[in-house]
Amino acid sequence: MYRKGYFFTLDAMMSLGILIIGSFLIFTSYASVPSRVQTAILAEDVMDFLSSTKIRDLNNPYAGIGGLLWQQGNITNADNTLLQQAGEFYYRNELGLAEKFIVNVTNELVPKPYKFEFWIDEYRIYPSSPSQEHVSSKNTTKILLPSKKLTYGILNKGMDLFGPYKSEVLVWE
Amino acid sequence: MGIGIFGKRGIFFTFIAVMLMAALIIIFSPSTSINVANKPVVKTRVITLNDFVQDLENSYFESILKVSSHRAILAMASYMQSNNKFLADMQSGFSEAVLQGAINGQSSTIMKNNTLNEWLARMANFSEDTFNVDTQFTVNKVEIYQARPWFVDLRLNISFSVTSETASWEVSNFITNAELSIEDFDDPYYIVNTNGNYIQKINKTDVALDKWNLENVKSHIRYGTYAHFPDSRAPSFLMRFTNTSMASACCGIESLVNPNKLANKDQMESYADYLFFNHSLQGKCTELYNITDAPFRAEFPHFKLDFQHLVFYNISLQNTKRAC
Repeated sequence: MYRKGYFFTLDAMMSLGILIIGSFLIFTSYASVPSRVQTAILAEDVMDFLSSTKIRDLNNPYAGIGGLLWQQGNITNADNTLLQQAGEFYYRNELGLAEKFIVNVTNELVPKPYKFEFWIDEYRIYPSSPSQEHVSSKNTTKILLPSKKLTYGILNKGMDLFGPYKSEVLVWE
Repeated sequence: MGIGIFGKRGIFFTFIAVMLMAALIIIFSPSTSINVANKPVVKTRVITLNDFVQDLENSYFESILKVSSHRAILAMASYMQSNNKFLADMQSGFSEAVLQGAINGQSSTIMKNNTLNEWLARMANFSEDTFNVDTQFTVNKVEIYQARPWFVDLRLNISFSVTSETASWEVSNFITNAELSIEDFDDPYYIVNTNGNYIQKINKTDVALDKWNLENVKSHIRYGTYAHFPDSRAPSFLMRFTNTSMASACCGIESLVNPNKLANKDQMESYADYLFFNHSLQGKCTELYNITDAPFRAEFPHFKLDFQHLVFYNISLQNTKRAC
């Protein structure tokens, strides 16, 4: 009764400000949820692709049936999955070939804002020589989720088995 | 006097807004942080371990069963060659080889580091190092049998458990089946019956049942290929490990012995392998036939067959002459 109307106006404006700032803070914290989930899904997707796609199902001029590696005799078992083939290269200590193979079969599989690494046991197969930008982005990322799978396969017409090795895909934004 | 404290100050709306935001932050913030921090990690952990269990069930057991069995067959043939004797029992011999790496108590270098138990122990160590889980395996039974002429069937009955801090799996009597082609394995019949002097690998002929003729028979002998005749009395590949020369209902295979590879080339036998080695027609010249076709006779002069095999190989009696 004794106050002027502008006190109430000022009070309402301050309240509105508090509500806006509070809502902004709450919804900003929600914004980080999708990227974490997407990173996990992407890591699993890359691993699923490598572990479920067979050489015979791959339409790729470098790694598919009749492709360069096939013609050179580096790939001989069309029933190998891509993961097994990388594991076989690792078993034969052909790490350079394994890296080229992974680069080729995962081309455009991981969208631009994301980066990934592929490891077998304690060896980083891809990238074997990471750029400075790659290293710093990995060191500074807040979300880095791995997808692990065991890798093994039959060699020498059923006489031998290589592995089991731990294969790991790391994805981050 | 009756208006109250909010009516006296201009902080009415501010106070309400602060209370509202506090309520909203309390409601949403804590639950959000718990979900974000923990759910994907636990989910990823469980998915990874479930994939590991699926890998064991769908692929690893089959792979190690194939590799160990392949080596066990080689090891049994090698044992038979070294000791020049047949196995007493195929099933127990195979089981001993594939699980313990030995045949009749003699350890085999072929099985070294490749028994089923060794591959399972390797996987248990691997899973502990990689996934930080405790994995236990128990092989209940491993079997080998034949239902088709050119393949052996393998069956593994295994129980296992995978235990981690987030989840555990307990699987009993899981059955894994696999098959192995018998081609490229040495025929145990030849190994033991010739003291290892005549070793022949199983190599399936590509001649169809109704396409046999003298020319094909010559190649069949020359290259040591094997045929399956549905009405034959030949034993299967597995029966050859125990010198069982009864007819196999499903899986009998047979080759023709090449006389030129024998020390004694001219024997009064049918040169169909199982008849030759079990001597069931030995000396019965009235039941045996020489091939009279000139080119054939030039290459295999002492070769003889019984009447049933003349029929199987579509050799007309005009091209034969009774052995006596």
